[in-house]
Amino acid sequence: MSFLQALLDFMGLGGRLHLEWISSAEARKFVQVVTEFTAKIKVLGPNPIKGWQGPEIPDSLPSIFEGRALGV
Amino acid sequence: MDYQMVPSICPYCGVGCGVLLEVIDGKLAGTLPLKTHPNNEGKLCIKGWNLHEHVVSDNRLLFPLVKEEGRFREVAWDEAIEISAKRLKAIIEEFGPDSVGVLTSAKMTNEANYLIQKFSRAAIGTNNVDHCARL
Amino acid sequence: MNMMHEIVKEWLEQEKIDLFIGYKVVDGHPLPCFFTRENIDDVDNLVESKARYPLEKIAAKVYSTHPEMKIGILARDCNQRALNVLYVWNQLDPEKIETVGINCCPSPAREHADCSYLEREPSGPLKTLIGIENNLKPEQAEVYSQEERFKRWSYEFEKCIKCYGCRNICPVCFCKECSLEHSDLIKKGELPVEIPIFHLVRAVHMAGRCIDCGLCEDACPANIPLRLLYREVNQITARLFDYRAGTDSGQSPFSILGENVTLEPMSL
Repeated sequence: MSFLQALLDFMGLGGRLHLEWISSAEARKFVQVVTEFTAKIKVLGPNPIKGWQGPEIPDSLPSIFEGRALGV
Repeated sequence: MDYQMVPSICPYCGVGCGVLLEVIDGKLAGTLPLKTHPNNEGKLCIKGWNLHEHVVSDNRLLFPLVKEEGRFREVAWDEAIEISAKRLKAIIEEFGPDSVGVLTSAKMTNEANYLIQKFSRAAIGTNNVDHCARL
Repeated sequence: MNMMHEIVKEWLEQEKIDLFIGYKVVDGHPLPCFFTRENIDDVDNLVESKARYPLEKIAAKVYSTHPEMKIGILARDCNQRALNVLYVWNQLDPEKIETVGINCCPSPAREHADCSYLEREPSGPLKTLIGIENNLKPEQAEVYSQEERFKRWSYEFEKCIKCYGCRNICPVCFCKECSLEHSDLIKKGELPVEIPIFHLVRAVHMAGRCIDCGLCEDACPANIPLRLLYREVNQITARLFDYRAGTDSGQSPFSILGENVTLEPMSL
């Protein structure tokens, strides 16, 4: 789990994954964890995967582009 | 244990990527990109990576089949050619040569493809010739 | 005739090995080649080759069908690391493998070498502007903000043409069933691939396995910085589990196969 969290952080999706073991007897803990996590997610905003519209290719490229093939 | 790496050219499209065919005990077992080939520099697309599959595929057609009453029957080459010629002739007579289209394959040689376009233009009389590598 | 030739000939003659996997120049192209006792004079044509192929993957293929064979391999450092991983995952028997070590590719430890990674092409201006440059170090890719990181990585992943070349060339990818072909995980026949699922699934599977040979990036037609991504994955593994693939001899922390891994040959 911490591995996945670190990987997602590297990809720019950090803080959006959380795992917590909560027993059915721990109602108070459940409420606390869910409230905290939703608050955290709300601050982060909507998931960028959903709104991703493809790469934003700028209209003009820097001057180093001089008739050279577009190095992708 | 016999193992060979045979350099070749991918037949799929006009780029002509270099490929290495892995031959284990006389059987084609895998494809690798040819790292030192100037066209693809060690890169291949998914079709090139799976070149060997259609050679060893179980679905490969090894002899002509004729469909009769919804079933395929194995026939000899002469009979198959005769049936196709008869049917083609009948169709051309009834609907004209442009009712026939010819699809050829990129997995054949240049010469074979030339022959097919000649066949469709000169023998059948249509320009409806196309090819899967028209990317 | 140089020392490498002498050693290989000696090993073949003494029956220390049954076959040697190295390179031979055919029509100007260095190709992987098998050298055997029956054809011992051919050993004189053995070369080091600047182009690298996954020789250990070929060895694993031989081992899966002819487990009794003793195999010699021309090994750079990356081949050696890959061999170690294959030993750990029971794909090869270390008792059956002998290696001839040669000078290797550039790594943090050694800057200069003689293989295809010597000269890495600089990135073009577009890639510098909106993508991730291939020659960055993992730390350097972390200077961007979370939002920017996602945009830049998505640009890279979007280029993927799903050729599966990274998996096919990978010396440590040996699973018979691949998650990347599982229809529940990866949708079939759609491009671009699901961002970032496709690449992250592979990245997760590279954790504790990737030996940083760079063959995947070499084989990538879209020039996606895969080596950088898997490097980061391995750094996370080292940080969290204190496990370094290719140098540690123990089982990977991600191993779920257990101790009894079957060695049935893959169907052709």
